[in-house]
Amino acid sequence: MKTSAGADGARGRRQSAPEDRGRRAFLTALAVAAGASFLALPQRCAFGFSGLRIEPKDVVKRFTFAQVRYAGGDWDPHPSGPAEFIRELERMTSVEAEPARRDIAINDPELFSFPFLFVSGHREFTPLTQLEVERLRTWIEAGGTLVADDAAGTPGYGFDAAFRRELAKVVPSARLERLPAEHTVFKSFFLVRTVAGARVVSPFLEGLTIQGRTAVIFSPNDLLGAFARDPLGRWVDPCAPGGDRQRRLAFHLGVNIVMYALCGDYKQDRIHTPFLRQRI
Amino acid sequence: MALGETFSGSAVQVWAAAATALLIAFAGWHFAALRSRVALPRALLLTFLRGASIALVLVLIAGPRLIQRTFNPIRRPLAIAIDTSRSMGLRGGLQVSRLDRVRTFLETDDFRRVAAAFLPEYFSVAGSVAPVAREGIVALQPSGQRTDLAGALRAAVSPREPAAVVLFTDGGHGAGGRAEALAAPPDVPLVIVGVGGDERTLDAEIAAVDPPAIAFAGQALQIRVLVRASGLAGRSVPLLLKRGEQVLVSQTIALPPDGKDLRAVLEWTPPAPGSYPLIVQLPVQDGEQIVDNNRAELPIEAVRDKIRVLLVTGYPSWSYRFLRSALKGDPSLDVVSFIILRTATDAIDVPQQELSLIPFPTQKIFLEELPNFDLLVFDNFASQPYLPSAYLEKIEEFVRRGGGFWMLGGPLSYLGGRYQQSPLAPLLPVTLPDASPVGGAFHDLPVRPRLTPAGRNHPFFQGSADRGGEPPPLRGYNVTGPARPGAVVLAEVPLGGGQSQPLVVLGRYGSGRVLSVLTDSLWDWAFAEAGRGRGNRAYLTFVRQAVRWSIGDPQLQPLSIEPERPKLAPGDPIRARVRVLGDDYLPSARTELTVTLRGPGGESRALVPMPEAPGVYGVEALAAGEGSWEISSEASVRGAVYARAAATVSVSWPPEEFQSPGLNRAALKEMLVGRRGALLELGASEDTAAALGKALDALTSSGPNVRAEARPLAEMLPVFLALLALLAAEWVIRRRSGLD
Repeated sequence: MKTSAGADGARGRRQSAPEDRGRRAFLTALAVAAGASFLALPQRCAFGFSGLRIEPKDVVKRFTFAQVRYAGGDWDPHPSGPAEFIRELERMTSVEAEPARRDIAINDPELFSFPFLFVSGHREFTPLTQLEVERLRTWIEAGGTLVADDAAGTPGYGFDAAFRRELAKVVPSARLERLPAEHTVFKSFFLVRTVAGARVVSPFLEGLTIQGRTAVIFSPNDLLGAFARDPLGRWVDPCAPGGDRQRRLAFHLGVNIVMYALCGDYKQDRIHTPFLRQRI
Repeated sequence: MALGETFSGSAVQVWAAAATALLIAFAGWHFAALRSRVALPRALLLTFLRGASIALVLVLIAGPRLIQRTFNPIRRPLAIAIDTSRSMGLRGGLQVSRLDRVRTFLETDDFRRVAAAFLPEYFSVAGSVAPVAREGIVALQPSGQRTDLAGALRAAVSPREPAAVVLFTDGGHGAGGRAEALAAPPDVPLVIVGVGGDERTLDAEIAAVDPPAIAFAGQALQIRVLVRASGLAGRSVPLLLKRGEQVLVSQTIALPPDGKDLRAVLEWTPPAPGSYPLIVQLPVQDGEQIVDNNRAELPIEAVRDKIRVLLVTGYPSWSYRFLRSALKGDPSLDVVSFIILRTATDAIDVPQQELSLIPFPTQKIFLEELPNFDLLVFDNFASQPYLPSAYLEKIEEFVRRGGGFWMLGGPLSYLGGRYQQSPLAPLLPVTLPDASPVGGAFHDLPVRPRLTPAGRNHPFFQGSADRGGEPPPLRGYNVTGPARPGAVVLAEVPLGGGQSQPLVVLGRYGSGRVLSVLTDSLWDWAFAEAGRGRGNRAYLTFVRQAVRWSIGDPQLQPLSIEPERPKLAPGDPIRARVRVLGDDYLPSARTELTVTLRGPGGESRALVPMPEAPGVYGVEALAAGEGSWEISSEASVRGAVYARAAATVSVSWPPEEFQSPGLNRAALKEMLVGRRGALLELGASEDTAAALGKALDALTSSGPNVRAEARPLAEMLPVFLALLALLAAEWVIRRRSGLD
């Protein structure tokens, strides 16, 4: 649970002080009675109950940002990017994520413990072996979501070309196509209207959709580059041309991609339609 | 005794004419050659002998046959079968019934003359065949409920082989057809005398009813009806859909012209799941004689409309993602889900208008809409921040009244969600201790669960068969107390020392069903199993079967009734097999089983289940009358019913008897395919007798008392000797004339 005492103070997560509990309970009752948004509802921490206390050891981090380690090329162009993104993901959403990235090879026996895979790089990489191709195909068909990010932002060259070449082997029956603006990935948490990363090479994402589920998402804009910090905490890339606003939009897009992987087409459910129509 | 002989040879062909011409030419040449050496008479004689020899050889080569007719002084039997089924009682606008007209014809001199050449043997034909004395024909009644024409044919030809079978029928037969007819000896000629071809019948008929493949409660179903009529074209009549005497739907239709079809559609909505023995009916019209075909029975099994599932998830997780995919992938489910995507502690750097998040309409859902769902799922969801006690009490009431409820594990479930103090605690099939367990409420470590004996037999785990029945490993489990008394533990986590933690537990609360899953990594049965090459079958089977169990789907009841035959005729025995298991899907000696048979009139009586095997019973009763008979059963333990099942048996006479009011020529012609026979129609006695006599004459070779036998001429000794004599005579004369 995120509500452990002082565990996340830097991110604004504090254990409820005893003097705050009465007020919080009152606000809860008020919010519930009014049928208010759960956004306005209080934290998950206990109120009005006593006895069992949820211990930190009960926290289970089931979402892992797994990054593909491949041969040739540069599989880890922004080593600090994932950790920063995971912090932001946990700060903004209720997702319980492992704080550290997990790098993994496709033929690793534990591949099927991670339904979310991120793959990035600048340069062309070594073609996948036949075993890797088949394993990745099974992984995608079983429900995995693969997110590819061209750190170089050079369509048709380097990582972009190599990834498209290998993907064609893995899923020969489908190909990357532009994701329309109404795709769930653009409204799975934030209402994303601008596709951005550390740079803006292309204003759209591409995706490979199998039986209604977009199993592969391709970003040409160096998404992970927007999240990378140096050891002193400064941003590594300036995010051109939009600066900090562009960086914020990149975070929003990253959060949405994870939410799409975890929730699927949840936001396409009918119950969401009137609310989203109002806001869009 | 030889009566006469006739030659029949091959047809004269062109080569035969040519051979004759050559023979004449040869004779001329032969005569000219001899004339200079012998006297004229001797030359002529020798030429004749040579020509005759050659001609005889040529004739033998042509293969002529000698047909020898012999007179048999003993008259052969003639089987005369009379259809006495109900349709033979129709008059079709005439003064007398079809059977009466047959009787009248059999009494005429015209028929007697035809029959005099044979030994007539009479049979009545309906559902069975019975010999009838000639004087008994007058007493025959058209009372047979079905007509077995093929059976009649077989019986008539056995044991004595008759010269022919003469069958008087209207062709309305309910058993036997071409295939069975052919099974009878094909060399016995069959003469069918059709009755009813000259009638004009008034009839309205439900020719066919096409029910939908599946009917959902609460959803309109379309029943397609094929209507035919005879002599009633254009008449407006109501087409009725009834349940017993209650009219459910009435639709006015105009009856079609003779020979034309009318297709109508009746629309009706089953109000609730269950069996509906429906009837499609046309009212009997004035002058209509056939009333049986005015109605058709239509047993409908209405299943639940889409199962509505409300899924509430504590935070985005793979558990939600794979569960949602499994539920959404089942077209029979309608899933509404809510996920807590964000809590108040999560910091957002944008206005709410930039978010796609919607309010969690707790009041609307739990106070108003909950009864409209069939199944509520709490997936790693702690209710207390969102649902006050009043809401939870509504959930308790929802389950008590028959709703399904799942609590799926995770850090926010069970003790982690502080449910031990909530109104939901009593309905869970596991106990929740007040004290915090050592090591926390959720143990996040790999475990290898094992199935209990109940789990190994349970439909939830039929997808684990390729693992030897053992479920795949998991990543962690919730800690709770033991299962409640009466709950069924299907899977558990072995803890060592003979201890175990329930992992999958079923329970009942009031009329509702509750499933407790004490792990948040059930999705590994889909994803990790795919990596092991086993696909997601174990997971999908578990989820989909669990949904159906939770709503009390009859398909997953541990009780079933299997009628031996779903359609019977009156007087047949209704037999069924009842299979019953305990609530744990194991045969149980504690189970009390009651079986009831309800007749078409609503009368009920208990049947005694006879044990056949553990958990298997047989029941038997008599189907006394036409209509839908319902067998229902209840399984209980100490008076508490835990499973119900029902099955319907339709009892009616075969509809074919009155399917076609007139003469069924097509069916009768089909009986003659592949055998010697003739189809006549009963009309004026003189004409009918003449046609019958002619047919019998043709089909029994050359009349009733003559047997004809054909032999090849070449096989006959006199012919061979004649040829030798010709050759020998020529040889002797030639020797005496000094010729070589």
